[in-house]
Amino acid sequence: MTKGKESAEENGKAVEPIKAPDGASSSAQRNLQEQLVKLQLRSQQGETKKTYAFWETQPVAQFKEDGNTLQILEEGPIDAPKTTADVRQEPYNLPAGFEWSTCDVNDKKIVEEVYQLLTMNYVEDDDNMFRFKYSQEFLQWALQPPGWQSEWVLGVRVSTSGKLVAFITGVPATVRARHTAISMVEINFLCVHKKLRQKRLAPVLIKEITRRVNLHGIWQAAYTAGVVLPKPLATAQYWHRSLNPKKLISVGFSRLAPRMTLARTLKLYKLPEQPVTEGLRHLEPKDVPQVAELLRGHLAQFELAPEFTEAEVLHYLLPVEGVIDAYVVEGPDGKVTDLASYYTLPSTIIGNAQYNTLKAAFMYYTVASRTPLLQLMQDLLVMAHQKGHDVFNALDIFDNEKFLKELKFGIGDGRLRYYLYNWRLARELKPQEVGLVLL
Amino acid sequence: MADSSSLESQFEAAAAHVASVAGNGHLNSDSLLQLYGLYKQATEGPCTAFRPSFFDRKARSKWAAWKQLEDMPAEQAQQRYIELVTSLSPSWQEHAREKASTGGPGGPVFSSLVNSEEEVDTGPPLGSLHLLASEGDTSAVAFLLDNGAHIDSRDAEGCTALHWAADRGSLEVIQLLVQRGAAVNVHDSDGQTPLHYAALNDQREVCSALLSAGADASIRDHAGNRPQEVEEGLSSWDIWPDTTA
Repeated sequence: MTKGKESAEENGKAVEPIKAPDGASSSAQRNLQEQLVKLQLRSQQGETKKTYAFWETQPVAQFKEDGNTLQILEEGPIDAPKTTADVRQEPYNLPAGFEWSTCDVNDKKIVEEVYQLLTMNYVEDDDNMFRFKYSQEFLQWALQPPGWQSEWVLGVRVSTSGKLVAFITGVPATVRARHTAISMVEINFLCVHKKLRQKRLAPVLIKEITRRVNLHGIWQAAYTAGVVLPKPLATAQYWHRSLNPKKLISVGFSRLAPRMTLARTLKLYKLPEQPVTEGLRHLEPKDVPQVAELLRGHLAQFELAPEFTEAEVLHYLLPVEGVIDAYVVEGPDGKVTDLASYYTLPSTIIGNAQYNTLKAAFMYYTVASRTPLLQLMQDLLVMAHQKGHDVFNALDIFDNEKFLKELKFGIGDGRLRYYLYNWRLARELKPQEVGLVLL
Repeated sequence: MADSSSLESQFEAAAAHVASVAGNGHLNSDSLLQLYGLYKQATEGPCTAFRPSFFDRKARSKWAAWKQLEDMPAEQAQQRYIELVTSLSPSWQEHAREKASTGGPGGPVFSSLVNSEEEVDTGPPLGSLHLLASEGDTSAVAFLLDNGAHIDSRDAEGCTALHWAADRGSLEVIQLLVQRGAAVNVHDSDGQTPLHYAALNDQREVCSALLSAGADASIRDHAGNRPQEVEEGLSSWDIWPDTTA
């Protein structure tokens, strides 16, 4: 998430070389580091007893409710019901010298500004070696699903220079939380310029986007974050499948196991050149009614899942080069039986002389009804590899646990927390009960 | 009660901090070893494992770091751990706080691979000639050879110590092995020679060293590739003999 650190370039931190000249001591150190990382993964769970100056004022489930075991809190909205007439009419105040700016991502110049802001200032890994680099086409796709509102693509500019320095977005979606389908927004792309992290802009951005959403009579939101905030609905674990192990090792995304040669590592991750499923092809507009039906049936089994209209299925799953790839399996009778998809989210490799971009595919909605899930996913890996991706990422949501280990995914150091705004669930969900992907 | 739980949570926070900085090389291996010993003592109590073999230096130093603390109570180990973290990075608590407080919602998280023990727990045994060669431990390799280790012994993949040294680019070990008469044009189970391994790893200097030691650049592996063909771009190196260019 947004972090208080200055950029890695300014820190002058170099990327750790893959092959240290003194192999012995570095591999001893590496072993220890691995154990310590595991330890961190464990200790993160106990790390929730903090105070949250902003979030404790918001209508979100709180940690302190946990202690109150006698009272069972009701599932549903947290705030008392309101109408749009109750919503503050004027925008929230920004610190002096800044102003609100709605960002039209169809404007070439503006989408370039948003792209630059995110590319230089958005999410990094803990060691500041990688930073997400959403493409302009991706932003146009992700921010304009059916029903999108221009005023929910919200920026903050410096009044004098006009420079874009902060950003937040909302897109409409119907999401079912257990038994209730809720018309809500998905909040994403909260980003504040690195130089302005001390100005407490994030809470104002959140309040302002909430106000703008409330004006449309929408009172709930879904969002995800790496950090623990009050209070996760579910915590999912990232897994990674190496497609180009040599590059991943050389840029420090993964490490060569101390007792495995590179030659053997490459063999281990080698994929077939071609998919094996008969009738696997790119999704086309004519497939949408069948795919929507397939998806509806599949998503019904999860406790948190979107309810897609056909228009949304068309928007979110129709392939866009370098953004979204979706495949269907069509039987000889013309019936579409399976769906597999991923989206493309590259990252900047910070300060690496040989490579500047890590190409990652992220698993998106996938339904295996006739084709075995393992085979369908293996084919999806093959397609992602064919398209030049270095790694395929997936969370342990959906039925993914059924294939992760089998298909040689390795556990990641990142966890993704799911949150709902102004909605409380009676219990925390297991990752396998989550059927929602936020981009 | 309140005291021990706050020590516990401080200890966990310190351990989380160590984990978050361990990967970036800010802590030297001595400090990491001390932290390892204190952590094990604090969480698992006295070390009851047998002392690892002389050649397994990593396991041995870790074992020693833990074993020497066997009389220390867990709380004291936690306290010492926190003190050590504080002495190594005095502002760790601020960093931990800053990290927790500056995050906001509405975004994904960047995750990268963590190597798990199962993945690591394959391949030649720790302390074997192959592994010491891969680690560049020239003196240990020499010691094993002096005491009867077979220089061209194979691991499960058909690799010799020279394959392993070439894979990791351990130039000094390569020179030692060649000097002691290791077979240079030996094939693994996929028909690849140490020169293939060095080429695959973009180890130009190692390739040169192997070529001077008599490596044959015309040998094709089972996939039909010569060493300079295992990766794109290698054939442009000027080290390959003309006959194979």
